[in-house]
Amino acid sequence: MTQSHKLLEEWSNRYNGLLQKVARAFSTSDRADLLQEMLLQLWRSIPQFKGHCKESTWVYRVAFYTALQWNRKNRCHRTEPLDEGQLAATDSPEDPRLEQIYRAIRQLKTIDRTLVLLSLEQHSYQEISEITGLTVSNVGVRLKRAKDSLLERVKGESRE
Amino acid sequence: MNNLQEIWQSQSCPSPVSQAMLKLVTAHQKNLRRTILSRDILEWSVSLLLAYNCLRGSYSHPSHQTTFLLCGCLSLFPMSYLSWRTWRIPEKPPMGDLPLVDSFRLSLNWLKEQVALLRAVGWWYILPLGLVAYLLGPFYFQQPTVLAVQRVGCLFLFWFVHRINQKAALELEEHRQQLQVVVEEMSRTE
Repeated sequence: MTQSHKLLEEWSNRYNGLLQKVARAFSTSDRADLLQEMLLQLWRSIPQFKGHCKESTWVYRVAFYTALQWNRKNRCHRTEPLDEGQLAATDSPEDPRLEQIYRAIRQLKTIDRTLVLLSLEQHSYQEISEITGLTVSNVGVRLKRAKDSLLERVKGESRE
Repeated sequence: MNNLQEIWQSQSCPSPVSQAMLKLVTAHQKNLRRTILSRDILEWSVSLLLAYNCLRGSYSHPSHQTTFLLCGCLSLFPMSYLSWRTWRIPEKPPMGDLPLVDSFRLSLNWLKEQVALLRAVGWWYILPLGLVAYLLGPFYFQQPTVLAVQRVGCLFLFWFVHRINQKAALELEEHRQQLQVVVEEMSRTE
């Protein structure tokens, strides 16, 4: 097993939750394909990883980079389709409100989705700014608007 | 929002990514690299073979030496040009040490380059090879009917090459526009 393969395995275990959340927030029917694409891009990025930034920041950036560009029709690294069932398996039943949140997130603009996800993962404005490249004040303004929009949509979802 | 945060944090951890998926991903990447490498080797070999034949032709037809030498250069032009453009703006894997907006800018530059390359395939690929086929045809096919068939065949082939490249350019252009929107959105200060 090569060093890269070991690192990919390590990252995929450590950041599995994050990768699956991003895949779910950016895609519905082809979630497994997006997850696979994120792993592929992580694998491709490993030789460039020199430890200049935190490992988690690296994984976040690659995951969001892939998700924001995700376009099933234009994928150039098309791989074999995977079984969605592989992803849904969890030990405990899911809170039904969680799917409402995901649905609401998917309705947001792609940038807002990124900001909201990072915020829900409890990252500070500073960290979000580092990952995305937006200024801290810009993150604040956008995130405020994105959160309002999310809450409105979640309320709308609950009423339905 | 706090309520949402609580629900979000209570998410149970999904099952880990399977070994099978990891193997699939790494194997796919290796296959992709192999495919790209073998395609480049094949295209360079064809170009070199063509150039070598032209060089030989320049010795066997001393009165048409200039034509053969010109065709030799023309047959090397498409691959040289393509390699130069690819070297100038190479496709980079996602750069985790750059903020997202900068990675997107790099990606956008690469896409612009690819679209331009595909759109201009007529002059850097079809024109030089078309000229080679046109100039060398009479030396290899003396009968007018056979020569005509060769020219029609070449026309059809080049039309096909042009068409698939334009189709690919259209698809990439669509992707480029989407990426442009993302970059503009991210670059906007509020």
